[in-house]
Amino acid sequence: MSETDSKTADAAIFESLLTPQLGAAYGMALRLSGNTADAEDLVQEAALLAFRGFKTFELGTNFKAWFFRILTNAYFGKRRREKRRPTSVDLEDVPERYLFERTAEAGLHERSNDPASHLVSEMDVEQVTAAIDALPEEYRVVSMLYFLEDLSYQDIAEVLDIPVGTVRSRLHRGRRMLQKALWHIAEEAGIISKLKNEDAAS
Amino acid sequence: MTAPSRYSCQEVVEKLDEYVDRALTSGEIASVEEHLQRCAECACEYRFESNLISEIRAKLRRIDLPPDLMSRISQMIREECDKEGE
Ligand SMILES: [Zn+2]
Repeated sequence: MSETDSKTADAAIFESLLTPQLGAAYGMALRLSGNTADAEDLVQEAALLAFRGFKTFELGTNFKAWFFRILTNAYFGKRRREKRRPTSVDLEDVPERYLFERTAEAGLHERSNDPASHLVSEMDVEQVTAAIDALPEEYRVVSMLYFLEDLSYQDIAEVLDIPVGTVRSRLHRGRRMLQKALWHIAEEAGIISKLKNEDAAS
Repeated sequence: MTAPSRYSCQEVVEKLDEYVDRALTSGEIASVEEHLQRCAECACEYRFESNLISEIRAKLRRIDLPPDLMSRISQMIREECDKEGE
């Protein structure tokens, strides 16, 4: 088989592995970069890098984790050149059960048997994304992988090349931070008072 | 079979994330479940956390994939193969 023929065979295998993951990869790229043009560029860049390095992928191992690792590294490469804007919410040391307590205090538990879903369903995608974006970068990326994909802690560790214990602790803290950011954004947007009034009226 | 060790509310709250994520050992799962059966407050908190995560996931996953993205990638890969074949 000539070199070109074997390249073409590799391309066919590569594409058959990439196709089922493309939706997930694009979703991740979109949530990380925040707009469709950058997301498309990022996925295309990652696909080209992955194809060039395809010899290093062992067939039969986790292609999704392997590809997501290339994707997030490509994202970090771009991101390093930009400055992230600081957020106005203090996310240090958010206590356990943060959102549970806040929604209970606001009286949302008595009126809804599912106050968590009720609150989030009132928020739009941009607001929920903004809440995740409010997290410090190392928590934000772990959280994006967690919320967008059904990746195990082990897979997330593999994607980001960090220990499983680090994934575990970042997710734990990141979830508390996210709860505070969600609450803050919902409050600013008037969603909490709307829910209170809505409930009082019914 | 030994009975699961009895957790306090604090221990359950600390393990709730990993319980939701099915990342606990079977012994820990048994202990969390034993507690959730007898503590309404923690059971309520568990439903809250678990519903919150499902709802955030459902919201973030609604994404339209650009229909021609895969064909653009295929094109790029063909060009890459041709380039190396020269
Ligand atoms: Zn309890």
